[in-house]
Amino acid sequence: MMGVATFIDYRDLVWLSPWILGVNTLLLVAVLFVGRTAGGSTRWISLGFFDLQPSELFKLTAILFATRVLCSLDRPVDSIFSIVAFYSWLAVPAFLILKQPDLGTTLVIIAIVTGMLYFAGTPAKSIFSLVLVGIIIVGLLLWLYLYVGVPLPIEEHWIDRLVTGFNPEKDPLGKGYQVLQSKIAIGSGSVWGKGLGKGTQNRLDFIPHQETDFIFSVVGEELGFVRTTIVLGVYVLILIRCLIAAVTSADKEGTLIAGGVLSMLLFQSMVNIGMTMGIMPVTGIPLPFLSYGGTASVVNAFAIGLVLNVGWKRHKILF
Amino acid sequence: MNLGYRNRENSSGNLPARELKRIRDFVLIVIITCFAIIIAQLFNLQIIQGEKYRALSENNYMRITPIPAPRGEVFDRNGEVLVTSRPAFTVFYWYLDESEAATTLPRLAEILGMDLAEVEEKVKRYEGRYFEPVPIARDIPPETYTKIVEDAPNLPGVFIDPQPIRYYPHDDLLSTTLGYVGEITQAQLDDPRWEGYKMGSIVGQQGLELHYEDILKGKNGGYQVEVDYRGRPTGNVGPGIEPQPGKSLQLEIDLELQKAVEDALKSTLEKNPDAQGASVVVLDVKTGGVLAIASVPGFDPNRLISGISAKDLNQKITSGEWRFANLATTGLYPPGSAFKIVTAVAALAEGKTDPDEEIFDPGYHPSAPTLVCHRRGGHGYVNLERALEVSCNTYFYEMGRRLGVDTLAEYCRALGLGMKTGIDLGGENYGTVPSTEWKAKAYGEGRVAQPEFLFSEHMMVAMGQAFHLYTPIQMASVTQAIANGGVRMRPRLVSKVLDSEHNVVEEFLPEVAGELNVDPGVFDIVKAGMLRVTNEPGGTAYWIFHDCPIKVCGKTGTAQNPLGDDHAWFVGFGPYENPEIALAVVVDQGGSGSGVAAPIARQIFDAYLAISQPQEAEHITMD
Repeated sequence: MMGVATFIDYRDLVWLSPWILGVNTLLLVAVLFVGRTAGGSTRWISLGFFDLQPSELFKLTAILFATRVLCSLDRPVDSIFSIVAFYSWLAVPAFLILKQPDLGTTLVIIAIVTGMLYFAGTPAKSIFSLVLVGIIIVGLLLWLYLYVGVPLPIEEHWIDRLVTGFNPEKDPLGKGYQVLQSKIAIGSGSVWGKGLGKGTQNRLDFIPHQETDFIFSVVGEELGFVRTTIVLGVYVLILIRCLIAAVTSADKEGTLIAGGVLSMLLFQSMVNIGMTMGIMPVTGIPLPFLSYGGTASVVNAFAIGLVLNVGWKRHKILF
Repeated sequence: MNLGYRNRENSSGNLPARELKRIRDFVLIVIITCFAIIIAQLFNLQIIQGEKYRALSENNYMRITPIPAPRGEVFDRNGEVLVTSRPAFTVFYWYLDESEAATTLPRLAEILGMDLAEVEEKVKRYEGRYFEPVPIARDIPPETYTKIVEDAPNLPGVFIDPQPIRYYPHDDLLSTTLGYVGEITQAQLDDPRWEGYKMGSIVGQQGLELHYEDILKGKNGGYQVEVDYRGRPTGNVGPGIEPQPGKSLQLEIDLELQKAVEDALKSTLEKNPDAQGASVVVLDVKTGGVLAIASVPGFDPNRLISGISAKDLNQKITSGEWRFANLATTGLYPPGSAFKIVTAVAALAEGKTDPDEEIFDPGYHPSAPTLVCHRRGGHGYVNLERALEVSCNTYFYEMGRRLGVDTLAEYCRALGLGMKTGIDLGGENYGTVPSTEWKAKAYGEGRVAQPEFLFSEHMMVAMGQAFHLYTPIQMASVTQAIANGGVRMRPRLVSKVLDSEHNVVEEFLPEVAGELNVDPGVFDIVKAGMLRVTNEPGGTAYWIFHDCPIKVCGKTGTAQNPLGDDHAWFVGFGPYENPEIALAVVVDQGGSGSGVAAPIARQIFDAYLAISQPQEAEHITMD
């Protein structure tokens, strides 16, 4: 997949992105009707040999389409009005993904697009105030729904998930237990770890879902502090490679694509690793490159391929 | 959407280098800060608190002890308990590791008298969830309890906990309707309907237990508990949540009436060893409330729950002693002559006859002499009321000829035949309303019978014989509708939902399921005909009902069954003046309607009278 991405000119993909957006949105609509359900949400379209997850695919689509939008504007997006207008195209797909329900992926997509705004030259100040306003609006809506009783199209169990996600102690037999076990696992790894395949917490299956969301607790338990830090270093290297590709790109498209991929990887790895160590909410965001997930693996490989592609096409050397 | 994107060959100009440098420095700081926080927390967990967590992981385990929510109860209309729960000792096993399991499990299996393979299978199913205890045996006898307690030092990880177990105080009474509970199956766990259930959950598997699972189940709780390396709780209890008890159901069922119904059915089946089963539905004419619903034989849910061996269960099912199907909602029978009440309504409503028209019955229908009446010499001149009284076939052949099957089918559907009645039980069968369209489909090319509707079939359909298949509850519902002037009420088992303090939290009100808008006089004439069935010396159920203290309207049916003996039917309602209850009785391969089904109906009406008017009933029996 990575190879495929390096052969395609990313500018062609940006050119085609309205079509990609259309197809991906249709796929998200299709999930509503023919989606496969697992773990309480309907996210997948079964293709027989492969379960496609259109919301995961949408991360790439968002990167490509946001690139096109930002490149077609003459001025940087800096007024509040232009920023809000810039986010408007996300409304329908984000609603469809929230409906699955998949809060985690929705957050990742918002993070990607917001990061790209910065790479397009929007001042950090504007972005921070935007994030603040967003949090206030969401908080206000929740407050209206929960305490004032304004009927909003929200399902009770979304809120349950949200509340227990940010506050795992509220769910001591589910998420709270997972986070506790994950912390025990990581903590018990100490300096040198228990050795590959020797993690007792995970061997006894004390951590549910260790193949997917809590994979980092296995890493921490079995590798220990020194080697886990090296693993984290690899993530930092990948992110810095993305950053170099972004700031040395020959064109704005390259900057934005590499910046989008960087935002995606940074946000996902922070939220996921933070979750396993009890300093981030449990939102079900997978860890790039390590979590198991068919579509996610393909998407991550493709994203890295795009960044390599951007790197090879550069003319200016900044570093 | 035209976003003014530049030509694909020309790239967009990038930001000035100074700007890019600023972005580079800022993002670099963000990345480093983020990872610094992560590594700091990693250091905190692994180095600063490493010893503590290592100890927690090696010597102690935090496990979860689930506390199942008390399941809601089920009461009859007078508050008599139909389903409840009682405490029972359940043996759990906390998986420690492979070598412990290898010595503990054989010992445990021996004490419990179970196959080792069976025990291992149960434990294996929990692979991936070993932080929760595995239930091995439920409801163990006191001797076993003592043995396990005495042998505790050799049984690390084994513990006994009193857990509520479902109890049905009236054993097999109402069993197919109440249903039973059981451990959730793998197939259910894979099904989105059971989303959120955990392995080992006890869930409704049939009947009301299944249909009202969401109301009855409540919310399970549990606690994180610290256990030592032998699986023994150290006494440190972590955070947890209290279980929330499930809500209870109050039914329309009257326990006394239900008992009378099942007693009558059981004694009938004893007297008729060839009969394959029997079913009764008794409905409240005004509200559609199900006062009694029976399918005999049923099963004993208590034996099922405390654990019956696969062999015993198989034996009980193959011998016919136990049956799980609820015949009242799933049994499909040709209605035979009991169907004539529908034809009578249709013929009058369509103006194909009037109450005064008399038709001559020579013992067969003149235009199709192979269609004979059950009385060889014929009934002579009969009008509609007389035709119902004596169940004259020839009269109804003629009505069939005049109506045609498709018009008749419209009335069948308007009265609720061939469709789910909507009873709150689930798993209902549809049945078959014959029509030309249906037959063309069912007997399309390549089949033995012809796809066209034959002349004689139009006539036979009118007396309930050809192709019709209905469930007992559909027939009870039709009878209720006729008694109620064409307004069919949805049959309803549950009237109220109660919380654990028996306060009403939800009430289910009567609902109209359908209405047949015809001249109310039509129903008066049919009722008058049905009254003659039980009150005129020529009536097919006269000798059963002639001394009944109330006036009962009825219709018998003896449905020919190509696969065996005739099915015996009785449908009816009473009292005639102001109908209160409507019922349908069917005895599968029981023989004649007047000889087998009508006496059951009589016993039910007597029991109903004894319940609804105790003084009067006493007075009558004293006479």
